[in-house]
Amino acid sequence: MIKIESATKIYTNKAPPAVDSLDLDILDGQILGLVGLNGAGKTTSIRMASGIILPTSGHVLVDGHDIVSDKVKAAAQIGWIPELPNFEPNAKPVELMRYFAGFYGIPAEKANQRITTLLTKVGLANDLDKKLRNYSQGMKKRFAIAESIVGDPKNVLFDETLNGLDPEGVVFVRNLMFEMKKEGKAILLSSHILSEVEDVADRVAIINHGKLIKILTRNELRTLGKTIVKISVDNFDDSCLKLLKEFGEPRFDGHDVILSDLTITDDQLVRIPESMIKAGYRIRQFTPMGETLEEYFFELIGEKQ
Amino acid sequence: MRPIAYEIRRTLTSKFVILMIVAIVGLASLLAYENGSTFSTVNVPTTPELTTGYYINGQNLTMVGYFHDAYGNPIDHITAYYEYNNTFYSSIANKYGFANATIPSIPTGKPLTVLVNFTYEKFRQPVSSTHSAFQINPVNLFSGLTVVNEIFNPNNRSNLGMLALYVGPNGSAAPQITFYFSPINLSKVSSTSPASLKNNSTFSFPRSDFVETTIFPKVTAADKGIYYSVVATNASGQFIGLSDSSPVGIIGPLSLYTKLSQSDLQSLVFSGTSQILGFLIPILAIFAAYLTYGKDRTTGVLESVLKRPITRGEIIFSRFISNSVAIIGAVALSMLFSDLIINHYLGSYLSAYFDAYFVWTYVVEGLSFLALVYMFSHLVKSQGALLGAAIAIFVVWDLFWTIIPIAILSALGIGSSTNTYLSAEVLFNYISPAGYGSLVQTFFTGKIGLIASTSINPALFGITAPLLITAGILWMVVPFAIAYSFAVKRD
Repeated sequence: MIKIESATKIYTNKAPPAVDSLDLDILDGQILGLVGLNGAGKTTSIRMASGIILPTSGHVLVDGHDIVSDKVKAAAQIGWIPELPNFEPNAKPVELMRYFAGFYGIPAEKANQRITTLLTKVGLANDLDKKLRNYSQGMKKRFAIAESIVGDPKNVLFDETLNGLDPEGVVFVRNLMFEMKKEGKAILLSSHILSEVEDVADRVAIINHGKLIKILTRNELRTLGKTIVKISVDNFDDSCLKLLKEFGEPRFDGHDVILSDLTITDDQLVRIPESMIKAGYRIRQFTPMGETLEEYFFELIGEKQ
Repeated sequence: MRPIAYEIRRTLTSKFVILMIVAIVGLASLLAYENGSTFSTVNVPTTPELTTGYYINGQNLTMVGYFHDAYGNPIDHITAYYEYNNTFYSSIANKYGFANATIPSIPTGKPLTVLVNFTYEKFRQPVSSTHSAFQINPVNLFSGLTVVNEIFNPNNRSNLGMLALYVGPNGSAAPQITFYFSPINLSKVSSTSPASLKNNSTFSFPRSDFVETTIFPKVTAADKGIYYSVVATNASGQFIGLSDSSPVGIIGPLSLYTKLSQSDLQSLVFSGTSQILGFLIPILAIFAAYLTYGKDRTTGVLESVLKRPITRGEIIFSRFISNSVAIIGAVALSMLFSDLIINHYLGSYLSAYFDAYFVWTYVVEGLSFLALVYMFSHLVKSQGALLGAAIAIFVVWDLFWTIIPIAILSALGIGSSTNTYLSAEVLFNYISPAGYGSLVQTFFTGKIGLIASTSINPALFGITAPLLITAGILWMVVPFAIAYSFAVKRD
């Protein structure tokens, strides 16, 4: 379990805090999604939690050990998979993993077995002779996953890990997270692709401008609730937009229009297509649906696309 | 694998470090070889020598000439000229050193004289030897045994060696001959019988079937200045007369090679190994620090280590130690090879005291530059800025550090022979790790200046052992302590 207590990170006094009094618990046996726009403070929070950077104030406790004052014990129970993994370019994967394994005091034979298992698991068994500088970004991410859990940590932080992975890789990481969750590990997945988080997280923490805005549970995610309507119109124009504003808040989603913040109840929805047809608009699609995390997120942070 | 072992292995197996260590140790060894081989031959003549004999067959006189160096080793490609009756008979020495020529139609029964000289090349210029007259009595159909004095022993460079040239009937090789050596007072040579000399001999050397051979009696410093008599007997124990018809040859006096003093040896090291280390150790230190710590830190590679169960302090410390191993190894190996080579050629090791100071000096220099780059790794943010800083440290604090003080002091109009100038020079040497080697050199030699040309009392200018050691420790510790503090307290 990772407990972040009033953690603040100020890089420079000329700018607002990158993370401001953040309180967050990453619980054992759960996946916590961390979402926010670029620059919201997700990566800074994770880097503080993994001991890479020092909090300006506040604490990060990893299974009860402070990541700053008791780093050796705390870091032994953290696996951090960075968004852009960066390794000693001339090292070979097994050699570097052995070096990393040395920090956890794993006996050589056991370390070799674990390294082979992990590298095979992440799909790098056929690339062990290559130097890391010859790995693609996707391969580096797979290697990062393997090397981050070489010490079998109880807490694993995935920072935008699904970005840049091929579909097979995305499925692999999802399954890996579920597997770890079953093992009782505390997992954090940060992403700005909200649908990815929505699919796997038990809870989702939304941060913006370094501050925690809200934490949604799995049940809350299921019942985000508010109805929205997706509409496709052949001859859309400004008058149509004006018409839709009578029923809610329209915004564009590609060629479609999403109507949210409805001013009518669900059983009155039929009034919308009726009015549009009466005004001469040809409707190709009219689909009422539940609000997604993405819509909820934008609604919450007040920054409409 | 233990992380520190990996760090050390990583440093020592990086191409840059391997290349630098090979360059440092190789060049230091080459300079030691150059110094050792040059100074080891100072007392040994380099001019070729010609030892001659002859044999007569009918009216043909064959002159046998053996060209050799001061060690008795053969020299080829030298032309010998034998002049008889204003006619020159020449021969070029073969690879065994022999240049023989036959003079036909000599008169029978009359003593004759052959003038001998030779030409050889020195610094690509032909050089002619002086003529020497070789007296031949045709009654003796061969010259027999000739003894050449002052042949140097290549193993200890004492001159109490002997070359024996034997020309038998029709140029045949020597039968079995035993040489007996005994110390002798020159004034008593004529009154001492060969039998007595043989009985009192201290060395004997049997030889057979040779045309030329060298003999080196075992000598010690106690033999210095002593003459030895040489008598030779055949297999039957009969004495063999020498080619000059005397029964006794004299060799000596022994002049043992004088070993260089510690001070001279130290000067050799300061003019050779020291120059190489002073230039290359900072390069090794600066760029090893950049490649294994600074670059990893500024590019984010170090984060893959920082997230492990290790403290920030342990990371910087383990990398510093691994870099230090490379520097200490390069310095120690350079000193070891230089010392071995110097001993091989000059017969003396440098004192352990000097060795320790010398290694300390360049370890201080290396570790100081190492620590400086570690410090700058925490002061700059980007890889490019750090590389620039590393190059600037090398250029300003090492490459041009001997010139910068001169330029500043000249600009200030301070004369080079004043106390102020010398004090300022010492001060400049204290404020750069690159000056540390110069301080130690001044401490040992009492010389200061760009070409160590001014003699001073080092203590009067603040160069004492306690100050040197303190300055060395400060140079290593202070920049590293700053780097360590930044590493622990800042991102």
